[in-house]
Amino acid sequence: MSASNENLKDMIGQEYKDGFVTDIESESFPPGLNEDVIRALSAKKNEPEFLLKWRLEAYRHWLTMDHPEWSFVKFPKIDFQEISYYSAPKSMEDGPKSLDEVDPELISTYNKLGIPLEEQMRLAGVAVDAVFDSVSVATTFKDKLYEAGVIFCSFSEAVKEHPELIKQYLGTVVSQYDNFYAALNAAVFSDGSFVYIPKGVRCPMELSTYFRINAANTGQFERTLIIADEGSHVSYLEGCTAPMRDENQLHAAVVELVIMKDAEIKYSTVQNWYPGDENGVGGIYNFVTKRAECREENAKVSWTQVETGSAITWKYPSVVLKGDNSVGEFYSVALTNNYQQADTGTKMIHHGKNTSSTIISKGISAGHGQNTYRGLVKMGRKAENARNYTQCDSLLMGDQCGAHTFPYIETKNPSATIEHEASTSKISEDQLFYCMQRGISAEDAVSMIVNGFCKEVFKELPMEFAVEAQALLGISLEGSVG
Amino acid sequence: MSVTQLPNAHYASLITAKNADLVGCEFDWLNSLRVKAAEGFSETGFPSPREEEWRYTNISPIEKSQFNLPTKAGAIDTRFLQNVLLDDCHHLVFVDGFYQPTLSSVIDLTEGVVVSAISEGVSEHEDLLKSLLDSVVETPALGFINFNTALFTDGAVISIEENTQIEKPIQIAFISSKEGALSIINCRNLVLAKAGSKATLIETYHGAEDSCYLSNIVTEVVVEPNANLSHNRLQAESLKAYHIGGVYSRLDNNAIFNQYNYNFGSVLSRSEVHAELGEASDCTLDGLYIAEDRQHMDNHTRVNHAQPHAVSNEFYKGIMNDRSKGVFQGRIIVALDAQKTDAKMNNRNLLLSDRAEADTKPQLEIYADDVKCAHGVTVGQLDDSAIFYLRTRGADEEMAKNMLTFAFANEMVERVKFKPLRIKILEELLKRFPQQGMKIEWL
Repeated sequence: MSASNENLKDMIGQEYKDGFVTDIESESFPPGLNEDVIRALSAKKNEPEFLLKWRLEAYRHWLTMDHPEWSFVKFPKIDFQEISYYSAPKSMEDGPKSLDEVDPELISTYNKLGIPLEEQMRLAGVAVDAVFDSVSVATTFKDKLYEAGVIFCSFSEAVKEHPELIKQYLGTVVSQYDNFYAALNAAVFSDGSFVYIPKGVRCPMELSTYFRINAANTGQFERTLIIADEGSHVSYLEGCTAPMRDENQLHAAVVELVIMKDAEIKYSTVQNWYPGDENGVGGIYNFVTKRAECREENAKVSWTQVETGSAITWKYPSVVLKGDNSVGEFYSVALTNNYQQADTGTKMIHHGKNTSSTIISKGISAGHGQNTYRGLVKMGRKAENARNYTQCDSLLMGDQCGAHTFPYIETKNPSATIEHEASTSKISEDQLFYCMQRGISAEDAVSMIVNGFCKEVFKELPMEFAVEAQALLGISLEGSVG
Repeated sequence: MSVTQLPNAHYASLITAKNADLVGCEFDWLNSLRVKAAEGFSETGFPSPREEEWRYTNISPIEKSQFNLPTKAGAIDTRFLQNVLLDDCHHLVFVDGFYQPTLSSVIDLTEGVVVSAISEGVSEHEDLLKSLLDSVVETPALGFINFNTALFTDGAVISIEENTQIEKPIQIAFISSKEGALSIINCRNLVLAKAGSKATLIETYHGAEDSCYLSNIVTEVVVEPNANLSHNRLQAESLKAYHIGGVYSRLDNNAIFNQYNYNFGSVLSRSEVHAELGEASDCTLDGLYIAEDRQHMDNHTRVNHAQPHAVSNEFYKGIMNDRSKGVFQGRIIVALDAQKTDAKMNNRNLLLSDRAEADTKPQLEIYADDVKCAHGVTVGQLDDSAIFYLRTRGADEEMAKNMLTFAFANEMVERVKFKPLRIKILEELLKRFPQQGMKIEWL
């Protein structure tokens, strides 16, 4: 990077030759965090006054907070002054010139996942012609969405085009004071996605960050806001199965979902950030705050997540069930191999009458992985006849890994019904023997058994995702069977 | 946990001003242990609800109450004492944290068996004390343990000789007198069941009616190979008292340890039962907590499967009425080498009122792959169809509810094998259903 700094500056100068150049237009901020950095960041993005104020409130509150220590993940202390809080999107020219320059290991993974060549180039950041299809695909999609009245754009775009919606909904589910990393995100978030589904609209297609052309460089502090107005429906996909490399180690994203009367959001995540090498060196810290609020009656939200990447995954996609009869669902597969750590689960907070929630969590630990399910089910005083069903299963592969279950159950209403089941098991020798006897290699057999173990979650994923997720599990488990 | 807060000034001053005549002050090793605990306390103070293990229990009323250390035992009414002591037992009686030889009776013990108080024979049992004290509690010790170590005034010391069986159970009765109001009972019990021995212990806690005080009791238990120890705890403190009680145990290979825990009294109580299991040992932890009015009952268990082939069974039931709050936090840890572990944990809660609350946190922490671990939790109310069934048989609604609630609780009481104790627990239980004609003789 440093060697090409000069070139980069030249290039940026060129790109902006029609515009004006001021101080704050430098390509990236020096590491460090203070109010000036936030002001500069906000100015750079031409944000309205209210957003800057909001960021500063978050930052001032963040300064008073302690780093949370209660989780089951271990990592060296993060120096927040060592992070650069803004860098311009990388120019295409900077990337590898062709697939030949890309790490062959990465390419072989792409091939195993069956990713088409053009997609491989895009993922690896190979400079391709602007004619490349993803742009045109995105444009066609945009027209179709526009017709339906759906707003689907980057967060910065939404701030410019629909500031009234941002003002109305931002921070109403995850406030700028919520927790340590959410406050940090609120102060310095770079970009993200914004979705608004108007009343009574059923989104004509599944929305995916994958097809949002500028999604590739949203940076480490991403913020997503999805609003499903009365009677609407949307299915949203985040991430992709292909491994993503990123030089930012810390990722602290925030996702807010607002669901109104009779509306439904289905939010699927496949997360496969770089997990570090087999000795646990490197890898992404994925600390995310995800929360949905069923504001009015009959609202429904469903989180589905497949977490196979990241050195550390630390997140609890939650649902606040405010409206009567609202429904929350959580389906999760979390896999830890080598030295990966995951502390994940969900929070179901019941306030409305007849609300119900379902939690299905499958944790798989292999190698030296540590996999923790941590979930809260809370029945408020007014949650008459609320119901919860929780099932969390752990699968242990090898004797060096760990599987932990920490459910929290808090009930203030006697009519609420809560069921919780948990089991821990390992792949039995019998199952393995049976498969191998029929000519299936040990590795394939394990992958098959694990996929069976996760079936309940995979069936919640959109079709293509489910197929890819299965292949992904197989790859993530490679080398875990002696 | 890195959450630190300054220790409460009042309690810190109690420790620094500690009187020189605490039990065992002639031993340097004990004094240095007390100093170390005092230092530990001055660093952490009492736990705050910001600590993960204390998130459901706020002990700030204890800090605000500013209890003092008692200097001597108060007087006890004979009738009250009669009611506390169980038949067919050896008795060790502690009033306001001081041993009362005149009220106690220990007779016909087999040779080599020690059933005594720390204050009775400090020099005689020095080696025993030295080997047991602070040997089982977790390190780094929690605020209340450190406070206890620094200031304990007395406690039972029990050692059962190898291959010896004690026929009669040993009752350790802690009583707070009227004069003991606004003071802290700091007692430390030390129990050693040597290889192949067998005994039953009963700890009971009572206090003068409506008296407000704090019991801070720590019991350390070592169960040697092939020994079998049954430990019962009946907490029936005054309804205005605070109770912090901990049973910390270590089981050697093939040891058997059964712990039964019954909580009825005190406005705020916390019971800690910890067990570290040796190879092929067998551990049972059962408990019942019944809370009404504004009582707060916190039950904490921790089973550490450190060695392979051990079996543990945990079953806790809670009944919460009025505006009370019941908490269960259980943790099973299976260490890396503890293959073939079989661990079960169960917690059932019954909520009888709209204002009652149940918080439960059954936790598994597993590092071995060839294990059987399961936990289950339920929170709910009485079954409408069962109530209907009883009503069709002529019971009115209240009676039907009482019968079902009683049956829910009685499952745990029936596990007590020693009859006088079982009757005593049933008496406490029936106090909760005064309007009903249920008679103890029927049971």
